[in-house]
Amino acid sequence: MHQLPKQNNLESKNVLTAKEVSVSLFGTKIIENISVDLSVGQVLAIVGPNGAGKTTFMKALLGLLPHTGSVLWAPSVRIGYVPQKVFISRAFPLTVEELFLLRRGTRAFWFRTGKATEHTKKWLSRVGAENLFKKQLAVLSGGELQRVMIAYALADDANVLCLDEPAAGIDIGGGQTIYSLLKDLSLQEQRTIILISHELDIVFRYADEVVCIDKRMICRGSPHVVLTAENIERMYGSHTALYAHDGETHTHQHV
Amino acid sequence: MFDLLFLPFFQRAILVGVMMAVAAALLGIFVVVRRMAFFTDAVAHASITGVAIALLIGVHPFIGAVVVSMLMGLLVARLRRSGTHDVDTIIGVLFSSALAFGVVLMTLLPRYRGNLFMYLFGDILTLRTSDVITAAILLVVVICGVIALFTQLTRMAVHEDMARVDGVPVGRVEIIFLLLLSMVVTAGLTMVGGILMGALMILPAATAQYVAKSFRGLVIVSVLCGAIAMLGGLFASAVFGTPTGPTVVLVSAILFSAAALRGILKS
Repeated sequence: MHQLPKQNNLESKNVLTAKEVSVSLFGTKIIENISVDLSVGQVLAIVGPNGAGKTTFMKALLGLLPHTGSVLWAPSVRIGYVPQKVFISRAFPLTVEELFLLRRGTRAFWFRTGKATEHTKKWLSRVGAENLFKKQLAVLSGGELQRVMIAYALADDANVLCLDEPAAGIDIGGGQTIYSLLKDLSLQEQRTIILISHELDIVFRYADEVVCIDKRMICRGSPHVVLTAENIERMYGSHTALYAHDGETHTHQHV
Repeated sequence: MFDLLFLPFFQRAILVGVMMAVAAALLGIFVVVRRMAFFTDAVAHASITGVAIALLIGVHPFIGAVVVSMLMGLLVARLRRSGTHDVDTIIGVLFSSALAFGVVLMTLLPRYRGNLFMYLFGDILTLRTSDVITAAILLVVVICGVIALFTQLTRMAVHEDMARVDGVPVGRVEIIFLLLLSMVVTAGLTMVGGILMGALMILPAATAQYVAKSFRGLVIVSVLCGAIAMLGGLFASAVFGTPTGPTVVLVSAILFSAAALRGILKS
């Protein structure tokens, strides 16, 4: 059974304490000595350039990859994980309704009840996807599938959501909807969110904490404090800079 | 043709054939949706080596075949997960070598040389009453196993890491699935042979994907396709005097082609 290390003596508001996490694959260090602390209801963004080890770090936190260092979750956590890419082939005609029923066991899968249907529709409506209830996962667009997967992760009463680039491959409007939903979940329902992103404007807008990595930890803390021009340059190189438009900060890359 | 139904050897063939086809189709669903089609070939080919080794060391061929095919399955699963480059090539080399090794080993056993053709292509018409009992037990075991692992295997097919984070014991489920797969493949050796067993497992689910509108539908249609192809193949082989195993696979392939054509025309 996949079990995450949990510790009772974490401070009451602490959800996660990770210290000096390192991962090596095939003899090569992928990430080295990365630490984070996370409190209930916070949104933590893991940022860095392509190949920086963001996904590796998230997988290490989730216990999906062997690592050194310590990762401790509070005992009450229920984690919902949404990977960057879920590929459902056309040969797998699983419907959205069936996906949600899988959590309720074999009997519930074959003999549906009104209660189960109501539960599924409730969570789908949270992400604006109730119209997808009867659709096959394989025919959904990237954005639709992402919203369904977030609802699926939430439907198990997850109080910690880990999302690997939740808006990857989704148009701007769809991405904003997802990020606004995540922010609501953290503010109104005190759910803790860990997300990977390489869009710094998203991080400025939605994250309470950020950990910047490029194999090693570059910076960590509140985005408005630690995402300085100097740290961004250390992560992305000298051709990236911060610009402010209408009160919001964005990054642009110039060649 | 219906006179055949009164012949005991044909009755046994129908009973064993349908039971094994249902068991193979049930497992084949998860092989197909988890995109592991090459996996059944690796396991089936390795089972012939298992039979040869068992005969060489004086163990029951079924045990030898199950053990060796399971080991091959575990090796292939590990290779697949390791993310090593050229994993498909390595697996291809592995299971072709296993088949070649099994065939060479069996020809070195003069007493069993005659059985080689049966293990490669099967002979369902030579089954005994004990084979009917074995097939019935195996079908019950497979049905119970699939019911017990149904949601876990399906969640692994959606995304293995998601399933793991949700608490699905992926490693344990994989081993039990492999054990069931190895047992069915080995039992199938005497019916359609090691070379065609993979096809018997994959074709029903591959056919059903063109017809089914849901996963429930896929399960039901796969099982029906497996049973229909087996019955059709048995009667066709008796009528046309063709080898039973390949005829069953051909009937299954015809069903697949018809479903695929329908799917293409519809889209």
